[in-house]
Amino acid sequence: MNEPSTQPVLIEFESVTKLYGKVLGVNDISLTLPQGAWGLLGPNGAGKSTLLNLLTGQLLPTRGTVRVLGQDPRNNPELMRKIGYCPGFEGLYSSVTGRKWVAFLLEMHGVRRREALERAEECMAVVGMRDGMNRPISNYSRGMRQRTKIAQAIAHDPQLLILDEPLSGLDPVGRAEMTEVLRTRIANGGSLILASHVLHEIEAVTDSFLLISGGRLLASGTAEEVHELLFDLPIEVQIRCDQPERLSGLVMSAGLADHVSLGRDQSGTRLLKVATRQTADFSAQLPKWIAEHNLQVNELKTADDSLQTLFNSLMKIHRGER
Amino acid sequence: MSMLFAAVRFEYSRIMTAGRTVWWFVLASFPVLIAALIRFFPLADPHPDTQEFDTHLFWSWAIYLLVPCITCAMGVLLSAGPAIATELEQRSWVYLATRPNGIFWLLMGKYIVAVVWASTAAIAGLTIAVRFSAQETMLQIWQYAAMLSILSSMSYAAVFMLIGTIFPQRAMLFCVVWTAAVEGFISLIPAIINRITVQYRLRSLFVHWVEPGGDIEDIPMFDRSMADGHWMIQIFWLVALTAVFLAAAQVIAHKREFTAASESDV
Amino acid sequence: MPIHNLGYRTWKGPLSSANSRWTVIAGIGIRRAWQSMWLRRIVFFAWVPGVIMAMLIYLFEQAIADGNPSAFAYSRLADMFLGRIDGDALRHNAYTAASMSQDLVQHRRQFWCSLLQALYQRSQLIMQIMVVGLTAPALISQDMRSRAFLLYFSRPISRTQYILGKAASIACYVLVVTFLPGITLYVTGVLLSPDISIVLDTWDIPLRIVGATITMVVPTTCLGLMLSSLTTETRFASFAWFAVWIFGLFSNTVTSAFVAIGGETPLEMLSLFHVIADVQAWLLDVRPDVELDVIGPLSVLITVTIVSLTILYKRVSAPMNV
Repeated sequence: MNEPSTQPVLIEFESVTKLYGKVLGVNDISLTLPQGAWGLLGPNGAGKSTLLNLLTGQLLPTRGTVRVLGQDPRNNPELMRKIGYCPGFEGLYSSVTGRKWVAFLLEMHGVRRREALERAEECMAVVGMRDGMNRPISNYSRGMRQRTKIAQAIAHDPQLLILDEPLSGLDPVGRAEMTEVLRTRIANGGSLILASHVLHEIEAVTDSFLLISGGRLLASGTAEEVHELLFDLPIEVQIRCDQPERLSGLVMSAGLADHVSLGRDQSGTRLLKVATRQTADFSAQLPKWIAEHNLQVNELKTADDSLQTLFNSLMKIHRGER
Repeated sequence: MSMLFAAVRFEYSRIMTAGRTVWWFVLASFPVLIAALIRFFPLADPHPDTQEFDTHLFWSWAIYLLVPCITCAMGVLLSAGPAIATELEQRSWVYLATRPNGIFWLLMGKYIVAVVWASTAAIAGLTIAVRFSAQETMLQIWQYAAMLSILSSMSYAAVFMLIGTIFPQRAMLFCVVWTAAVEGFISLIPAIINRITVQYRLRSLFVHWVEPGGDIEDIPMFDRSMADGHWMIQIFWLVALTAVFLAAAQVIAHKREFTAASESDV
Repeated sequence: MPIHNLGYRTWKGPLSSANSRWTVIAGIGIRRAWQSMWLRRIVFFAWVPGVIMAMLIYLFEQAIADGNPSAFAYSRLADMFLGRIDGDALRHNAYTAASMSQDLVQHRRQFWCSLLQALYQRSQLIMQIMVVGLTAPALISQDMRSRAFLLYFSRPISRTQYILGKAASIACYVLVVTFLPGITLYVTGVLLSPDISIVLDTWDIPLRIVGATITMVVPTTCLGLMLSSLTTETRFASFAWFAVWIFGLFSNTVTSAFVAIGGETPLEMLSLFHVIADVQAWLLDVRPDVELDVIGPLSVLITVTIVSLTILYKRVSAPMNV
């Protein structure tokens, strides 16, 4: 694992498992992160929010221990002074202004009212909400609410910033601005954990990743290492046609596939799956085969997201299927 | 303490909405309406089975039931009962839970605002309703009913907040059931169990004040469901019950794992 | 074209009637409500009072069969379970009179009707208040809050069907705790009677049960839905629902004391609880010897229903802030 700094430990998870009844939130995660910026990358339902809730003390681990900045985060006022949290959902009060809301949350840190209002104003300006800060939150667009949430997370200048999908709902300009805010904080020595299911969002802020899926920590590393993994992985193409055996023979003969498999879907229709790294050649050749051999192709589908493919592959590795 | 003031100020600003103001007036006007209607409908010949009609006692009981009992309880039911449910429903809980002692100050702030909101509505309604009694003892009735309103608001707010912490998704229902079953029924059982109910202490205080020096055992129906002893003891009990319920609510709120729950299901 | 382009396909199968779409809304509401553990418990315990009442019928009918009323404890049981409601001749149940009479057969019908009225007034109405308090407040307020209105009314669903579906969600459970226990009590009473001639004396009771149930279901369902439509916050709708009953009950308690000493007020109409009980007493023919003034209570129920429906329609039809 690439350690971005040699500072004291930021987070320690020791065999942490969290169960919601019988549903697994996170599964036996052990990791130690030094201070710095970390991206938590995983698809929806991977356990990112559970992990963040464990870090902020909102949840107790079913097994194992969690330490943040060397302390147990559960009911720990001292630690809460050092943490800023921006959750993935909204949860803002609609009838108050953004400035007053951020100021109130600052006052809950013990900041005096006047100073809290001034500081709230500064932070709202930092996140680009100077013009809208005195309007009720009910009048905010989704992007404005997201900026306000980031403002409340940074207002008390925390040592560790924990952000769950902070760029969600922002337009491209907003994303660029907020990314810059986060990079500035990192440059000034702040630590950060940024959870997202979008690779390039995290890439823009940090180059240290944790990959999580199915409640498990699958891998960690830098952006280059993640891209290498992606590059190395074959793309899976799913084809529904009338002569899958013939097509599979053609693909294998041409040497364009890592492997092919024939099967049936739930409705009983035959299905051909081709895993290939030569997607350009394959795409060029397929229409020719269809025309020459009079094949009828009803459906052609690839994985929506290369990141999903990455996670699928990593899960297979974890299960020992590769 | 600045956090407490901040929480109180913030909560207060949140309840000063048009809807909540309407509810405040509804609560305040309830005893006024009932008292006015009683006052302006003539009393015919008393029922032959009743003893000599004591208007002071009748109006005292009526005011007691209408103001400290119902108006205060309903007022804190609206504010204190769903204290946690409100934050969970709109998913704002986590912002305060990740503040140093945020949960503690949040609950205390909500409690104080609930008590102030309910007791001001009760006292406002009482001030007008008592005038309809047209009693010479109007001021006396006002004094003890006002004091009882404050004590009732304090105590019931603590009870409802505790219930709301244990059952955040069904807070309103459980508060109503608790009030009916425990405060309405169990408080009348002449046994140890009724002595730890709020209604028992409020009723005892009421009788001590409405009939100072009177022999409470002579009052039919309540002869064994009220406490003897100095009225300060009842106040002490109420304050103690309030503190215990509030402390329990705080402990439970800190121990439980509240996360980004979606809006409560039916 | 070599690739078979399926594209978007319209549904070619049969469509259900346009008038039955409310059943879909009702079905979802019912299934969703059933997930509530507390609702299931209330529905379960709603049957207990009926069982107790059935035992009283059994003892009463046995007394008739044996011709020796004083030898049985049913009159004591009746007093213990049912008691007397002071202060109002209208609500003075007849079983105490029946229990003192030598001619039990003469009072048989009255006894059955009184038990039914006691069942509805003492237990089922209270359970109904809790059931509606559990199911109704969230039905429309949540739709307004989550903008589900947009999903509903972007489909060919009319306001009437929407309201009908929502009302049916509530009415289903209300019927389970009111109509079913009532009719089950009657059937159980018949089965526990010594001979079938009881049916000749009580053949109209099932019809009266239907009427009494309608009295409970219709105005309360409309009121509950109306309160839910007035706010986006479920707790306010809940509070308003319980406030209606509590304020009414307390008004009646205070004014009953006044009436008992000779005063007169029309305030009894403020208590929906007692208004429903009055109309039910009339429908169930509890006191055939007394001329009951039911115009006032009936007018109150009809007014509540009409006003609630009017407001409900206006709220559901109002333009929504998106």
